[in-house]
Amino acid sequence: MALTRLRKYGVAYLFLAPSLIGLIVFVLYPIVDSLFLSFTRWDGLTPLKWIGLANYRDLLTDETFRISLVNNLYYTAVTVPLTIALSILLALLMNFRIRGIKVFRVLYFFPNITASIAVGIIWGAMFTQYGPINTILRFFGVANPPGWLASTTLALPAVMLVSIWKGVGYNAVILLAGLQGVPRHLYEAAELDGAGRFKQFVHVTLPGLSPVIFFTVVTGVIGSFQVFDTVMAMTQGGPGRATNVLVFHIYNTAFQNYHFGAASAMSYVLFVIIFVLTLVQLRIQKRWVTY
Amino acid sequence: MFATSKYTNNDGGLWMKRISRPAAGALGAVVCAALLAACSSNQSNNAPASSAGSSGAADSGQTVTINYYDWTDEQAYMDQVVSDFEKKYPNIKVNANYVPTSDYTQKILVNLSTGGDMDVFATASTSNLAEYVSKQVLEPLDDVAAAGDLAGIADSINQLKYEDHIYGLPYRTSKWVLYYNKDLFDKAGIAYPDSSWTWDQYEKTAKQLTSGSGQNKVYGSLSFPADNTWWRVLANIKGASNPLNADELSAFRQVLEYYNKLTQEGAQQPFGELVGTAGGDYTGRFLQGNVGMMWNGDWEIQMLNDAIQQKGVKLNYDIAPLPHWSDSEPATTGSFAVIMVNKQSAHLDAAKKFAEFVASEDAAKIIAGNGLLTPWTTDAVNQAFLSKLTTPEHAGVFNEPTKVLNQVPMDPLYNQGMNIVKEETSLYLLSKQSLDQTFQNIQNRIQKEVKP
Repeated sequence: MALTRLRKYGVAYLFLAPSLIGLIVFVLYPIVDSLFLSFTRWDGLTPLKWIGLANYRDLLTDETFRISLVNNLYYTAVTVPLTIALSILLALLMNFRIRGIKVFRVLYFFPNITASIAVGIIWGAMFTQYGPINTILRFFGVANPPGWLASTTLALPAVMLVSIWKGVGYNAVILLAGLQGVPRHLYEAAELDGAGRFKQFVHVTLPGLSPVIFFTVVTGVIGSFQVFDTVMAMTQGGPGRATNVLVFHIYNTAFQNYHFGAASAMSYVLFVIIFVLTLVQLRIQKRWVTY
Repeated sequence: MFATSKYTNNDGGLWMKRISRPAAGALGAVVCAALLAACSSNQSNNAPASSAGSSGAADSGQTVTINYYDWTDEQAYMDQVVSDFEKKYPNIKVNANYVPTSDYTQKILVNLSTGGDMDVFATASTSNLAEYVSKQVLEPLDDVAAAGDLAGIADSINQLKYEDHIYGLPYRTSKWVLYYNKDLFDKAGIAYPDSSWTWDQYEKTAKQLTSGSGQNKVYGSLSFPADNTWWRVLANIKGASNPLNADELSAFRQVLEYYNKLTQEGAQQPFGELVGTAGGDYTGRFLQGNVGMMWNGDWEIQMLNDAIQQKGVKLNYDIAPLPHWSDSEPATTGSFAVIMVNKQSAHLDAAKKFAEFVASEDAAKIIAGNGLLTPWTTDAVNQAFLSKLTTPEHAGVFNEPTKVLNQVPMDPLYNQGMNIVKEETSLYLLSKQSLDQTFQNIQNRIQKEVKP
């Protein structure tokens, strides 16, 4: 019985095997091992020491962890809505059937495929006191343009700006596909009912797009809690700890301070946060997502 | 309803018609095997080295290969050191691996945790040496240090003693000196710095040299980015190097206040303008010719000379000893580059021989011949150094017998402490918090966060 099943699906499993083995070895095993590590004290070189929940208890009093969590929440609360709003606008623009629109679609997608480190370094150069951004601001009469990456209040918004710039293209392409999937007869019916362009947008386009928007919100939230390379390339967590985000703190704890146990515990707290947020979103999707 | 041929499926995959099931299965198996082979080939490449060694480490006549890890900045002279070593010991082959400087520490950590692949490795900071010792990954080198060859640098070796054992041998040292732009001094009619200068004199001269505005702005002193802690050099020359020690921390505080005063008085470029890429290239900024003076390490001479001689940059500069504080005697500071042997190495004997050679006078002549400082002070090494460093005029300052105080303490928790200092002091320099608040934060955070 089992043999015939193996014969039937054997080839399929063999084809799946390379990916599955890679997934198990490089993704699943580290995840499980990390859970185990979070209950130990380990510096990467000397033998492990089991310490139970001590790492998690220390997190409650870890001030840098609290700061990085607050920074990350602030970061998510701003980048996700802004990215999606701008992506919807961009998708609407890209939907026009004019000559050369395909070129623009490619151009808007470009920021997404560039390497985050290179993007971070170049934008870092643009935010300097006498860089392009401040020069333009001075041209428009702003006497004292802000210090951007030198300011504890504006450094994180600067990083947010770069992330939004980078992520809008990707989300716009997905939303464009969703836009083109909204049935045309709904627009015709709305027009017949006397709805103007804006009313059509609110009552036909948005609900039609809502599954795609839901997808981009969920992936956006997950991605924003994992921001690291942009911060590393632009500010290295500074000034002070103003742009210290969760993954950056985890990285420092593990690879600078050699506290792998504490870093693993933080990773799992991050996992739980993202998991809970995703569950919440899945729950409330029934209210606003129309299929 | 669905195709019933056993060679097609619903998706209508056309190619499936031409490949039979057994052939498809074989293809899958081959892809699998290829991937697994690629994964394991990394390990098998290293196996010959260790297996050859374990069978005959002490056998003469059998070639032993050891793996040596270093960072790319050192390649120019370490390649020469390696080839001279192989001439001296024909039975030992050294496989030199150079890792980009920014990834180096992580690469070493990975190598150490995976076992005996790495036999000999180097580090630029004695605090890293202390960390490795506390993690028990280093082979003691007391026997090597006691052998006659390294008697000339016994003092330096003893500075690296940790709990009565030697775990690393110094092969490079550094010295901080004062660099100054001769043309700017001539234009302002001020006498060049000399060994009598105090830091009060430096402050006064920096203010005198500052002039102009906009494109023609000249700053008397070079300020580093806010998150750069090289201001601590002024504390190092007073004997303070470890922020985890309360007395030394108060010296850091005095020095930081002085450093910030230079900026507040307008003699240095404001820190707000130096964030990110704008401030990182201190060599480039000094080469632009609008900075009067800066304190920097010995490596800077090579970088300035390269730009002037090979890239045609016009700059008239010279060096002088670092100014001293009016309440201390003249001193400079420097840190050792250390060579170490991995405890898990399969060829300890060969590895120790290589480590000894790197710290020896022969290697020092090569390193000095490349314009870098070594712990050796013999005439031969000094000559090699001066023959390479023909400019600037006072390059001989490096050979002066000024006391060199250790810049980096042998404390495995130093790096964590300095990170906290860097974060808090950068806020002070950017005028986000007061000096008192800064050092209060540093002390609180050190107490709470620094742990082994």
